[in-house]
Amino acid sequence: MNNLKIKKPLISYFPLAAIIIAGASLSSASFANDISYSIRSDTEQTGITENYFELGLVYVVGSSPSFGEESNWANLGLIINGSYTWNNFFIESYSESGNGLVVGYNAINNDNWSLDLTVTTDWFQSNYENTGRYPDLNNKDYSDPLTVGGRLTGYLGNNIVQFSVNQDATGDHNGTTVSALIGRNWQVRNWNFHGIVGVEYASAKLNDFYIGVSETRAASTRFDFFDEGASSYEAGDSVSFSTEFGVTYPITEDWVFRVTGRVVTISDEITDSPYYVNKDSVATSFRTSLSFVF
Amino acid sequence: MPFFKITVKTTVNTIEMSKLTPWIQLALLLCVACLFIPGSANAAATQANTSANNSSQLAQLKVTPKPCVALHKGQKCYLEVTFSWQHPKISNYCLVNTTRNQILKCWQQQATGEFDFDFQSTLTNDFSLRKHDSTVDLAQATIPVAWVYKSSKRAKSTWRLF
Repeated sequence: MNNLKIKKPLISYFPLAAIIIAGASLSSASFANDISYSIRSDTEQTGITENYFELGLVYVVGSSPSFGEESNWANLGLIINGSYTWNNFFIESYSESGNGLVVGYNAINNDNWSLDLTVTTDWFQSNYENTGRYPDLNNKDYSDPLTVGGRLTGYLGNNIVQFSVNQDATGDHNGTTVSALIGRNWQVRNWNFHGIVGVEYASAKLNDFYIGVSETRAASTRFDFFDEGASSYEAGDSVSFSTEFGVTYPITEDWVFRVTGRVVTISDEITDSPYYVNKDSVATSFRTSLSFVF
Repeated sequence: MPFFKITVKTTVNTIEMSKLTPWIQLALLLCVACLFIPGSANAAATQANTSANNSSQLAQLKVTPKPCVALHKGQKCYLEVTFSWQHPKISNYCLVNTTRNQILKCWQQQATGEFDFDFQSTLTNDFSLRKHDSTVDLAQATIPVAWVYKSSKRAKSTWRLF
């Protein structure tokens, strides 16, 4: 019997508030008019080409290792996506990325490669099903870890490769992640398909911060709900593999429909944590969403 | 030779969303979604494509549906459309893509016609009804190409890591 329930927020409050404020300024009538104007006149307005803001709803069903017997779950969530670029500085949020709000600087950008230096306050905290690490599991009173990193993106024909390194900069856990992915686009009439495969390494410090169990924690009353009794756990390094396939369709010039399926392997270093009762080694999810693009 | 100028009008309604709270914005968007999506095709299809400056001799060229919407700027947009035209006088007419200077179809001794066309383009295209071997536009219509994301640049934020 396990009564411990972990809320899995699709977005955290800080990036939500920040993006709404940024979005409110971007979503002015002038921005909408620029889009409409370009449609009628077929002209290109430079200077705002990378800026957009969208809101939407997403329904997600999935299966993953869990803190109870049940591995299946479903969520209805809010999508807040957007980006704004100014003199190579950018701020972006993509609700499905798991990266939350990212502030960065585009240091290198040529025909084939782009290097971004990034800072984010909620790496892995805007859960997208999922890494198995839950920010509010161990650390009720923590402040958002400030993470710095870089991502190198290569555009090789229709293929995109991306390498990313992120390091906790505020000493909350001193954890590190390293990831690599390759993706590809296909356009079939107005349907835009994409496929991505990737691999991610997470350091033991990062994993332990989120799903490790300290001696103090193990002895707590709340933890004694677990059948296995009080036991501490120190997580090690982990490697996860992921694959994703999805399609995006423009319903109108303002509305976008997306469907995405995703499979992620969850390392034993994660599921061996006594928090986990259902220790499935694979997490799957299926998302469908409707978004309004300003 | 009569000349009939056809005017295409597109109405764009903008809402000053920035004056509203985010949650009210979202509620409005969802309400609009319920109303707008099912009827968008019909609304576009019934949008007036033509008018005439001479009611006694009305030439019309209509194309439905429109616009053609692609996801990103620069992408080729695909749309199956139907052109329909009519003219008060029976004659030889041609439907011409004036953007590409390409004849799509001609009719012999007709006063009306229809033509199904698989539109594929990255740009807005203009079309005209002309008499055979004439360059005078009797009626005009447009298939606008629209994009959801105005940027044709790399959408790096759409690529997720984990």
